[in-house]
Amino acid sequence: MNISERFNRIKSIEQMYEAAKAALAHYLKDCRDNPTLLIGASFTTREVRECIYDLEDAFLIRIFAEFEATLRDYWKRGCRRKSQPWAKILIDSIAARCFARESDLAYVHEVREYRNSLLHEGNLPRRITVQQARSCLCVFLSHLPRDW
Amino acid sequence: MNETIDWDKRKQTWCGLVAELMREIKTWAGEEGWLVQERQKQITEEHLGTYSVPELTIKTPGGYVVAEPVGRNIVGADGRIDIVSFPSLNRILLVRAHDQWHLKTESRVVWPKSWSRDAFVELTNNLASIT
Repeated sequence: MNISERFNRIKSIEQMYEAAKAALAHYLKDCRDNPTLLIGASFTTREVRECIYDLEDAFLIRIFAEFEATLRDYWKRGCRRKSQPWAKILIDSIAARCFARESDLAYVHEVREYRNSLLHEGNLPRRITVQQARSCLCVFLSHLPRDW
Repeated sequence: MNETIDWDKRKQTWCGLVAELMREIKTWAGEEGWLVQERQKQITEEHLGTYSVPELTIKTPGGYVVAEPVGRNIVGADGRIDIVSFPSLNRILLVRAHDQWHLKTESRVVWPKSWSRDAFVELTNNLASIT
């Protein structure tokens, strides 16, 4: 798989997020217009509304997983390394290997730290959108070779 | 630690190096009879702000090659310029380290020749011929 296919996969996750958000928004509107839709359901419109809010974080975790999988594939096949470093070390090592911009590296670490906060229920420093995450993760990936 | 770095001076030095390198490339490309188009590229970097440096598009008989400055603040280097072929998007990295330009492939393999007119002509011909 080359880098443009990886970009497409990350982009498609962002598109799935947009589709899911639109579908949920429509469903929420339908439920408000016709409350009988929720008869027998184990949730209310409140859960649907919260689901829209949480959806972005769930897809951000997914986008980061795809990004990390790309880096690990490059590490293993492109760099021929057998080690399985932690994400932070992996990102730093690849940034040095590919002569990435320092600012691009810093943005990736912001996303990683935010992802960690979401997963481990720590303090959320600030909200990062799926679009922002996709943008800075793809900019970082642009420093990788086209193929490996 | 940031207080000890003179970011303005760093930016001026970098812009001067890029301008000098681009002048060199323009001269060499001209000697080969290749058409060169120059435009200003805006780069924004932390501490350095937004600045403009020249970017060159070189038309060789085999195809187009672009000498594109990437930035000064690079992990493990003191600046980077990419030499990219179109439409294949293959590239060679021109990395600034220890006050010299170093040529590296994307796989970080060092180009067999050091940065010189010969190396430039050879790699440009190679890149441009890849479709």
